[in-house]
Amino acid sequence: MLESTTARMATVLLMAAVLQYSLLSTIRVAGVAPELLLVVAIAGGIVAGEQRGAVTGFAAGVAMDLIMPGRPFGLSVLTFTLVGFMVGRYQTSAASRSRPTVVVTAGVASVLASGAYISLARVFDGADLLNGQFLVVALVVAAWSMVLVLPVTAVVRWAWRLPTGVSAWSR
Amino acid sequence: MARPGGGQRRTRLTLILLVLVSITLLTLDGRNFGPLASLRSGVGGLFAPVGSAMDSVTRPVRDAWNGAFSYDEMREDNERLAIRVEELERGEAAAEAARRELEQLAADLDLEALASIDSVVARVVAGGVGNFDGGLQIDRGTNAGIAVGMPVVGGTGLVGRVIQATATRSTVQLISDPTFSVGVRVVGGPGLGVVTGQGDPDGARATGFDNAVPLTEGDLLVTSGTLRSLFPPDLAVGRVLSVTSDAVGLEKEADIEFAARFADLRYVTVLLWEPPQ
Repeated sequence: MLESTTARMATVLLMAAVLQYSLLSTIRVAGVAPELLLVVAIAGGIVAGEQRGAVTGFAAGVAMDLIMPGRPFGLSVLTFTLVGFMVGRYQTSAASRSRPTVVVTAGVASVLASGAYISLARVFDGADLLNGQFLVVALVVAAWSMVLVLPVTAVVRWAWRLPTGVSAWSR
Repeated sequence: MARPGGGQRRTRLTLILLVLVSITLLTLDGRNFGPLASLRSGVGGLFAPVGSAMDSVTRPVRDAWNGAFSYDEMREDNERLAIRVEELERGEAAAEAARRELEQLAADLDLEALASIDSVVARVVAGGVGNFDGGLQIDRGTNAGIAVGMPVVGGTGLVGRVIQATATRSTVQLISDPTFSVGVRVVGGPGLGVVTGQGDPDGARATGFDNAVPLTEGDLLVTSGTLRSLFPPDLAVGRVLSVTSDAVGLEKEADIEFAARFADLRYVTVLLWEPPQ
Protein backbone atom coordinates (compact mmCIF):
# COMPACT_ATOMS: atom_id res chain seq x y z
CA MET A 1 0.00 0.00 0.00
CA LEU A 2 1.44 3.38 -1.08
CA GLU A 3 4.78 1.77 -1.87
CA SER A 4 5.50 3.81 -4.97
CA THR A 5 6.62 7.43 -4.83
CA THR A 6 3.97 8.36 -7.38
CA ALA A 7 1.17 6.94 -5.23
CA ARG A 8 2.49 8.70 -2.16
CA MET A 9 2.81 12.03 -3.97
CA ALA A 10 -0.67 11.66 -5.48
CA THR A 11 -2.08 11.01 -2.00
CA VAL A 12 -0.31 14.07 -0.57
CA LEU A 13 -1.56 16.28 -3.41
CA LEU A 14 -5.11 14.97 -3.15
CA MET A 15 -5.23 15.62 0.58
CA ALA A 16 -3.70 19.08 0.13
CA ALA A 17 -6.21 19.94 -2.62
CA VAL A 18 -9.16 18.76 -0.49
CA LEU A 19 -7.92 20.78 2.48
CA GLN A 20 -7.32 23.88 0.34
CA TYR A 21 -10.73 23.66 -1.34
CA SER A 22 -12.84 22.87 1.68
CA LEU A 23 -11.13 24.24 4.76
CA LEU A 24 -8.16 26.52 4.21
CA SER A 25 -9.95 28.74 1.68
CA THR A 26 -12.40 29.63 4.46
CA ILE A 27 -9.79 30.43 7.13
CA ARG A 28 -8.57 33.92 6.38
CA VAL A 29 -6.50 36.53 8.13
CA ALA A 30 -6.93 40.03 6.67
CA GLY A 31 -8.92 38.33 3.92
CA VAL A 32 -5.99 36.12 2.91
CA ALA A 33 -6.08 32.33 2.98
CA PRO A 34 -3.14 29.92 3.24
CA GLU A 35 -1.86 28.46 -0.04
CA LEU A 36 -1.17 24.87 0.97
CA LEU A 37 -0.35 23.62 -2.52
CA LEU A 38 2.22 26.39 -2.89
CA VAL A 39 3.77 25.21 0.37
CA VAL A 40 3.89 21.67 -1.04
CA ALA A 41 5.81 23.01 -4.06
CA ILE A 42 8.23 24.90 -1.80
CA ALA A 43 8.67 21.85 0.43
CA GLY A 44 9.43 19.75 -2.65
CA GLY A 45 12.34 22.04 -3.49
CA ILE A 46 13.54 22.13 0.11
CA VAL A 47 13.67 18.39 0.68
CA ALA A 48 14.36 16.98 -2.77
CA GLY A 49 16.38 19.56 -4.70
CA GLU A 50 15.76 21.43 -7.92
CA GLN A 51 14.66 18.63 -10.28
CA ARG A 52 12.21 16.96 -7.90
CA GLY A 53 11.22 20.40 -6.63
CA ALA A 54 10.17 21.39 -10.14
CA VAL A 55 8.24 18.11 -10.56
CA THR A 56 6.52 18.57 -7.19
CA GLY A 57 5.70 22.16 -8.09
CA PHE A 58 4.29 21.11 -11.44
CA ALA A 59 2.03 18.48 -9.85
CA ALA A 60 0.93 20.87 -7.08
CA GLY A 61 0.18 23.53 -9.68
CA VAL A 62 -1.98 21.13 -11.68
CA ALA A 63 -3.92 20.32 -8.50
CA MET A 64 -4.34 24.04 -7.73
CA ASP A 65 -5.50 24.94 -11.22
CA LEU A 66 -7.98 22.07 -11.22
CA ILE A 67 -9.75 23.37 -8.12
CA MET A 68 -9.50 27.10 -8.96
CA PRO A 69 -11.68 27.90 -11.96
CA GLY A 70 -11.24 31.68 -11.89
CA ARG A 71 -7.85 31.84 -13.62
CA PRO A 72 -6.39 30.22 -16.75
CA PHE A 73 -5.35 26.59 -16.43
CA GLY A 74 -1.56 26.51 -16.32
CA LEU A 75 -0.90 29.72 -14.38
CA SER A 76 -0.36 27.96 -11.05
CA VAL A 77 1.38 25.10 -12.86
CA LEU A 78 3.98 27.43 -14.33
CA THR A 79 4.41 29.47 -11.15
CA PHE A 80 4.74 26.49 -8.80
CA THR A 81 7.13 24.68 -11.20
CA LEU A 82 9.47 27.68 -11.21
CA VAL A 83 9.16 28.13 -7.43
CA GLY A 84 9.90 24.44 -6.73
CA PHE A 85 12.94 24.61 -9.00
CA MET A 86 14.28 27.88 -7.57
CA VAL A 87 13.85 26.76 -3.96
CA GLY A 88 15.55 23.45 -4.80
CA ARG A 89 18.46 25.26 -6.43
CA TYR A 90 18.84 27.56 -3.42
CA GLN A 91 18.64 24.67 -0.95
CA THR A 92 21.21 22.68 -2.90
CA SER A 93 23.72 25.51 -2.65
CA ALA A 94 22.79 26.77 0.82
CA ALA A 95 25.26 26.17 3.61
CA SER A 96 22.59 25.52 6.20
CA ARG A 97 19.29 23.67 6.13
CA SER A 98 18.25 24.31 9.71
CA ARG A 99 14.60 24.73 10.63
CA PRO A 100 14.83 28.55 10.86
CA THR A 101 16.42 28.64 7.40
CA VAL A 102 13.64 26.47 6.00
CA VAL A 103 10.97 28.71 7.55
CA VAL A 104 12.56 31.89 6.18
CA THR A 105 13.02 30.24 2.78
CA ALA A 106 9.30 29.42 2.70
CA GLY A 107 8.41 33.02 3.48
CA VAL A 108 10.68 34.52 0.85
CA ALA A 109 9.65 31.93 -1.75
CA SER A 110 5.97 32.69 -1.10
CA VAL A 111 6.47 36.41 -1.69
CA LEU A 112 8.35 35.65 -4.91
CA ALA A 113 5.62 33.18 -5.94
CA SER A 114 2.92 35.82 -5.44
CA GLY A 115 4.91 38.26 -7.55
CA ALA A 116 5.52 35.66 -10.24
CA TYR A 117 1.84 34.70 -10.29
CA ILE A 118 0.55 38.23 -10.87
CA SER A 119 3.26 38.87 -13.48
CA LEU A 120 2.31 35.71 -15.38
CA ALA A 121 -1.40 36.56 -15.00
CA ARG A 122 -0.64 39.88 -16.70
CA VAL A 123 1.08 38.11 -19.59
CA PHE A 124 -1.25 35.15 -20.12
CA ASP A 125 -4.61 36.44 -18.85
CA GLY A 126 -4.34 40.18 -19.39
CA ALA A 127 -5.35 40.53 -15.74
CA ASP A 128 -3.75 43.34 -13.78
CA LEU A 129 -3.77 41.88 -10.27
CA LEU A 130 -1.29 44.41 -8.92
CA ASN A 131 -3.21 46.74 -6.65
CA GLY A 132 -3.00 48.17 -3.17
CA GLN A 133 -3.91 44.82 -1.65
CA PHE A 134 -1.05 42.92 -3.27
CA LEU A 135 1.55 43.58 -0.59
CA VAL A 136 -0.86 42.53 2.15
CA VAL A 137 -1.76 39.34 0.27
CA ALA A 138 1.88 38.48 -0.44
CA LEU A 139 2.99 39.07 3.15
CA VAL A 140 0.10 37.18 4.76
CA VAL A 141 0.53 34.25 2.33
CA ALA A 142 4.21 34.25 3.31
CA ALA A 143 3.32 34.19 7.00
CA TRP A 144 0.92 31.28 6.43
CA SER A 145 3.63 29.43 4.49
CA MET A 146 6.14 29.93 7.29
CA VAL A 147 3.65 28.40 9.72
CA LEU A 148 2.85 25.43 7.50
CA VAL A 149 6.20 24.60 5.93
CA LEU A 150 7.72 22.36 8.63
CA PRO A 151 4.86 19.83 8.86
CA VAL A 152 4.36 19.94 5.08
CA THR A 153 8.09 19.35 4.57
CA ALA A 154 7.86 16.21 6.71
CA VAL A 155 4.96 14.93 4.60
CA VAL A 156 6.71 15.68 1.30
CA ARG A 157 9.84 13.99 2.63
CA TRP A 158 7.71 10.89 3.25
CA ALA A 159 6.27 11.14 -0.26
CA TRP A 160 9.74 11.29 -1.83
CA ARG A 161 10.96 8.45 0.44
CA LEU A 162 13.67 10.59 2.00
CA PRO A 163 15.06 10.25 5.55
CA THR A 164 12.83 11.77 8.18
CA GLY A 165 13.37 12.79 11.78
CA VAL A 166 16.00 14.96 13.43
CA SER A 167 18.81 13.85 11.12
CA ALA A 168 16.96 15.35 8.17
CA TRP A 169 17.64 18.85 9.52
CA SER A 170 21.28 18.58 10.48
CA ARG A 171 23.75 19.71 7.91
CA MET B 1 29.82 5.58 -16.17
CA ALA B 2 27.81 8.80 -15.84
CA ARG B 3 29.31 11.78 -17.58
CA PRO B 4 30.11 14.79 -15.40
CA GLY B 5 27.33 17.36 -15.65
CA GLY B 6 24.80 14.75 -16.79
CA GLY B 7 22.65 15.37 -13.72
CA GLN B 8 22.65 19.12 -14.33
CA ARG B 9 21.67 18.59 -17.96
CA ARG B 10 18.83 16.26 -16.99
CA THR B 11 17.59 18.78 -14.43
CA ARG B 12 17.65 21.55 -17.00
CA LEU B 13 15.82 19.39 -19.54
CA THR B 14 13.18 18.47 -16.96
CA LEU B 15 12.61 22.14 -16.14
CA ILE B 16 12.36 23.12 -19.81
CA LEU B 17 9.93 20.28 -20.47
CA LEU B 18 7.71 21.22 -17.51
CA VAL B 19 7.70 24.90 -18.46
CA LEU B 20 6.79 24.04 -22.05
CA VAL B 21 3.93 21.81 -20.86
CA SER B 22 2.73 24.64 -18.58
CA ILE B 23 2.72 27.14 -21.44
CA THR B 24 0.95 24.61 -23.66
CA LEU B 25 -1.75 24.22 -21.00
CA LEU B 26 -2.11 28.01 -20.80
CA THR B 27 -2.38 28.25 -24.57
CA LEU B 28 -4.97 25.49 -24.76
CA ASP B 29 -7.01 27.09 -21.99
CA GLY B 30 -6.80 30.46 -23.73
CA ARG B 31 -8.30 28.82 -26.81
CA ASN B 32 -11.15 27.35 -24.70
CA PHE B 33 -9.94 23.77 -25.20
CA GLY B 34 -13.01 21.73 -24.25
CA PRO B 35 -11.38 18.78 -22.42
CA LEU B 36 -9.56 21.12 -20.01
CA ALA B 37 -12.81 22.86 -19.06
CA SER B 38 -14.52 19.47 -18.69
CA LEU B 39 -11.70 18.21 -16.49
CA ARG B 40 -11.96 21.26 -14.24
CA SER B 41 -15.73 20.95 -14.08
CA GLY B 42 -15.46 17.23 -13.29
CA VAL B 43 -12.99 17.84 -10.48
CA GLY B 44 -15.24 20.62 -9.18
CA GLY B 45 -18.13 18.15 -9.16
CA LEU B 46 -16.08 15.62 -7.20
CA PHE B 47 -14.85 18.16 -4.66
CA ALA B 48 -18.20 19.90 -4.08
CA PRO B 49 -19.71 17.22 -1.77
CA VAL B 50 -16.46 17.09 0.20
CA GLY B 51 -16.55 20.85 0.50
CA SER B 52 -20.16 20.83 1.67
CA ALA B 53 -19.47 18.10 4.24
CA MET B 54 -16.37 19.88 5.50
CA ASP B 55 -18.35 23.13 5.62
CA SER B 56 -20.89 21.55 7.98
CA VAL B 57 -18.23 19.97 10.18
CA THR B 58 -15.97 22.98 10.44
CA ARG B 59 -18.50 25.78 10.62
CA PRO B 60 -18.33 26.05 14.45
CA VAL B 61 -14.53 26.28 14.26
CA ARG B 62 -14.66 28.91 11.52
CA ASP B 63 -17.31 30.88 13.38
CA ALA B 64 -15.07 30.86 16.43
CA TRP B 65 -12.08 31.91 14.27
CA ASN B 66 -14.04 34.72 12.68
CA GLY B 67 -15.39 35.73 16.06
CA ALA B 68 -11.85 35.95 17.42
CA PHE B 69 -10.34 37.86 14.49
CA SER B 70 -13.34 39.87 13.28
CA TYR B 71 -15.29 40.59 16.47
CA ASP B 72 -15.24 44.39 16.14
CA GLU B 73 -16.06 44.19 12.47
CA MET B 74 -19.00 41.85 13.14
CA ARG B 75 -20.35 44.11 15.88
CA GLU B 76 -20.21 47.11 13.55
CA ASP B 77 -21.91 45.03 10.85
CA ASN B 78 -24.68 44.10 13.28
CA GLU B 79 -25.27 47.69 14.29
CA ARG B 80 -25.30 48.88 10.70
CA LEU B 81 -27.63 46.06 9.65
CA ALA B 82 -30.07 46.81 12.48
CA ILE B 83 -30.27 50.44 11.32
CA ARG B 84 -30.66 49.26 7.73
CA VAL B 85 -33.51 46.89 8.64
CA GLU B 86 -35.38 49.77 10.26
CA GLU B 87 -34.90 51.93 7.17
CA LEU B 88 -36.05 49.13 4.89
CA GLU B 89 -39.10 48.39 6.98
CA ARG B 90 -40.09 52.04 6.77
CA GLY B 91 -39.73 52.02 3.00
CA GLU B 92 -41.34 48.62 2.43
CA ALA B 93 -44.86 49.85 1.75
CA ALA B 94 -43.72 52.52 -0.66
CA ALA B 95 -41.45 50.02 -2.44
CA GLU B 96 -44.27 47.52 -2.82
CA ALA B 97 -46.48 50.15 -4.42
CA ALA B 98 -43.68 51.23 -6.73
CA ARG B 99 -42.92 47.61 -7.66
CA ARG B 100 -46.52 46.95 -8.63
CA GLU B 101 -46.59 50.11 -10.69
CA LEU B 102 -43.32 49.15 -12.42
CA GLU B 103 -44.56 45.61 -13.16
CA GLN B 104 -47.71 47.06 -14.67
CA LEU B 105 -45.70 49.46 -16.85
CA ALA B 106 -43.28 46.71 -17.90
CA ALA B 107 -46.18 44.44 -18.81
CA ASP B 108 -47.82 47.23 -20.82
CA LEU B 109 -44.57 47.93 -22.67
CA ASP B 110 -43.65 44.23 -22.99
CA LEU B 111 -40.33 44.80 -21.16
CA GLU B 112 -38.46 42.19 -19.19
CA ALA B 113 -38.76 43.24 -15.55
CA LEU B 114 -36.16 42.14 -13.03
CA ALA B 115 -38.89 41.13 -10.61
CA SER B 116 -40.17 38.58 -13.11
CA ILE B 117 -36.84 36.71 -13.26
CA ASP B 118 -36.75 33.60 -11.06
CA SER B 119 -33.94 33.55 -8.55
CA VAL B 120 -32.19 31.35 -6.00
CA VAL B 121 -30.78 32.61 -2.71
CA ALA B 122 -27.44 31.01 -1.82
CA ARG B 123 -25.09 31.23 1.14
CA VAL B 124 -21.51 32.32 0.59
CA VAL B 125 -19.44 29.43 1.94
CA ALA B 126 -15.96 30.64 1.03
CA GLY B 127 -14.01 33.21 -0.88
CA GLY B 128 -11.98 32.04 -3.80
CA VAL B 129 -10.02 28.81 -3.48
CA GLY B 130 -6.82 30.84 -3.76
CA ASN B 131 -6.01 34.47 -3.12
CA PHE B 132 -5.81 35.67 -6.71
CA ASP B 133 -8.85 34.06 -8.33
CA GLY B 134 -11.23 36.94 -7.60
CA GLY B 135 -14.19 34.74 -6.79
CA LEU B 136 -16.35 33.22 -4.12
CA GLN B 137 -18.09 29.92 -3.58
CA ILE B 138 -21.82 29.54 -2.88
CA ASP B 139 -23.75 26.56 -1.57
CA ARG B 140 -26.19 26.14 -4.47
CA GLY B 141 -25.53 24.57 -7.85
CA THR B 142 -27.15 22.94 -10.84
CA ASN B 143 -29.60 21.08 -8.56
CA ALA B 144 -31.13 24.50 -7.81
CA GLY B 145 -31.22 25.47 -11.49
CA ILE B 146 -27.98 27.47 -11.52
CA ALA B 147 -25.91 27.44 -14.72
CA VAL B 148 -22.67 29.01 -15.88
CA GLY B 149 -23.10 32.65 -16.94
CA MET B 150 -26.00 33.51 -14.63
CA PRO B 151 -25.80 36.91 -12.92
CA VAL B 152 -25.37 37.11 -9.15
CA VAL B 153 -26.64 40.03 -7.10
CA GLY B 154 -26.12 40.88 -3.47
CA GLY B 155 -28.87 42.98 -1.97
CA THR B 156 -28.00 46.35 -3.43
CA GLY B 157 -26.23 45.52 -6.65
CA LEU B 158 -24.48 43.26 -9.10
CA VAL B 159 -21.92 40.96 -7.48
CA GLY B 160 -20.71 38.96 -10.48
CA ARG B 161 -21.53 35.93 -12.56
CA VAL B 162 -21.37 32.17 -12.18
CA ILE B 163 -18.25 30.72 -13.81
CA GLN B 164 -18.54 27.13 -12.60
CA ALA B 165 -21.56 25.20 -11.39
CA THR B 166 -21.57 21.72 -9.89
CA ALA B 167 -24.58 19.91 -8.44
CA THR B 168 -24.35 21.51 -5.00
CA ARG B 169 -21.85 24.36 -5.32
CA SER B 170 -21.04 27.19 -7.68
CA THR B 171 -18.14 29.55 -8.14
CA VAL B 172 -18.86 33.21 -8.76
CA GLN B 173 -16.45 35.59 -10.49
CA LEU B 174 -16.71 38.96 -8.76
CA ILE B 175 -17.32 42.21 -10.62
CA SER B 176 -14.09 43.50 -9.04
CA ASP B 177 -11.99 40.92 -10.91
CA PRO B 178 -9.69 42.57 -13.49
CA THR B 179 -10.97 40.25 -16.22
CA PHE B 180 -14.63 41.15 -15.55
CA SER B 181 -16.39 43.71 -17.76
CA VAL B 182 -20.03 44.74 -17.92
CA GLY B 183 -21.86 47.17 -20.18
CA VAL B 184 -23.61 49.94 -18.22
CA ARG B 185 -25.90 52.89 -18.79
CA VAL B 186 -26.51 56.01 -16.73
CA VAL B 187 -29.89 55.99 -14.99
CA GLY B 188 -31.98 58.81 -16.39
CA GLY B 189 -29.56 59.59 -19.20
CA PRO B 190 -28.41 58.37 -22.59
CA GLY B 191 -24.81 57.48 -21.62
CA LEU B 192 -23.48 53.99 -22.31
CA GLY B 193 -20.13 52.72 -21.07
CA VAL B 194 -18.21 49.72 -19.77
CA VAL B 195 -17.22 48.97 -16.18
CA THR B 196 -14.06 46.87 -15.79
CA GLY B 197 -12.85 45.44 -12.48
CA GLN B 198 -9.56 46.68 -11.05
CA GLY B 199 -9.04 44.10 -8.31
CA ASP B 200 -10.37 46.64 -5.81
CA PRO B 201 -13.32 45.28 -3.77
CA ASP B 202 -14.79 48.76 -3.32
CA GLY B 203 -14.87 50.17 -6.81
CA ALA B 204 -13.79 50.12 -10.43
CA ARG B 205 -13.35 52.28 -13.51
CA ALA B 206 -16.08 53.00 -16.03
CA THR B 207 -14.93 53.98 -19.50
CA GLY B 208 -16.25 54.62 -22.99
CA PHE B 209 -18.89 57.29 -22.27
CA ASP B 210 -19.43 59.70 -25.13
CA ASN B 211 -17.98 63.09 -24.24
CA ALA B 212 -21.23 64.77 -25.22
CA VAL B 213 -23.45 62.90 -22.75
CA PRO B 214 -23.89 64.19 -19.22
CA LEU B 215 -22.13 62.15 -16.53
CA THR B 216 -21.74 63.60 -13.06
CA GLU B 217 -20.69 62.59 -9.59
CA GLY B 218 -23.43 60.60 -7.85
CA ASP B 219 -24.95 59.18 -11.04
CA LEU B 220 -26.11 55.58 -10.71
CA LEU B 221 -24.85 53.10 -13.33
CA VAL B 222 -26.94 50.02 -14.10
CA THR B 223 -26.46 47.12 -16.50
CA SER B 224 -27.31 48.27 -20.00
CA GLY B 225 -29.08 45.07 -21.08
CA THR B 226 -28.34 45.85 -24.69
CA LEU B 227 -28.65 43.20 -27.37
CA ARG B 228 -26.50 40.12 -26.57
CA SER B 229 -25.60 41.60 -23.17
CA LEU B 230 -24.38 39.07 -20.62
CA PHE B 231 -26.71 40.62 -18.03
CA PRO B 232 -30.37 41.61 -17.85
CA PRO B 233 -31.03 45.36 -17.79
CA ASP B 234 -31.21 47.58 -14.72
CA LEU B 235 -29.04 45.72 -12.22
CA ALA B 236 -27.32 48.39 -10.12
CA VAL B 237 -23.56 48.30 -10.71
CA GLY B 238 -22.26 51.37 -8.91
CA ARG B 239 -22.31 55.08 -8.29
CA VAL B 240 -20.01 57.61 -9.95
CA LEU B 241 -17.40 59.11 -7.61
CA SER B 242 -15.51 61.30 -10.07
CA VAL B 243 -15.45 61.97 -13.81
CA THR B 244 -12.46 62.67 -16.09
CA SER B 245 -11.85 62.86 -19.82
CA ASP B 246 -9.60 60.38 -21.56
CA ALA B 247 -6.19 61.43 -22.93
CA VAL B 248 -7.55 62.61 -26.29
CA GLY B 249 -10.72 64.18 -24.91
CA LEU B 250 -13.12 62.00 -26.88
CA GLU B 251 -14.56 59.94 -24.08
CA LYS B 252 -15.42 60.35 -20.44
CA GLU B 253 -14.20 57.97 -17.77
CA ALA B 254 -15.36 57.63 -14.19
CA ASP B 255 -14.25 56.09 -10.94
CA ILE B 256 -17.19 54.30 -9.40
CA GLU B 257 -18.10 52.80 -6.05
CA PHE B 258 -19.80 49.40 -6.33
CA ALA B 259 -23.44 49.19 -5.32
CA ALA B 260 -22.79 45.80 -3.72
CA ARG B 261 -20.63 45.66 -0.59
CA PHE B 262 -18.41 42.60 -0.84
CA ALA B 263 -17.23 42.80 2.74
CA ASP B 264 -20.79 42.15 3.97
CA LEU B 265 -21.68 39.31 1.65
CA ARG B 266 -23.18 36.40 3.58
CA TYR B 267 -25.94 35.58 1.10
CA VAL B 268 -26.33 36.31 -2.60
CA THR B 269 -29.12 35.89 -5.11
CA VAL B 270 -28.51 34.08 -8.37
CA LEU B 271 -30.85 35.25 -11.12
CA LEU B 272 -31.92 32.23 -13.17
CA TRP B 273 -31.36 34.21 -16.35
CA GLU B 274 -29.14 33.09 -19.18
CA PRO B 275 -27.69 35.44 -21.77
CA PRO B 276 -29.25 35.14 -25.23
CA GLN B 277 -27.25 32.84 -27.51
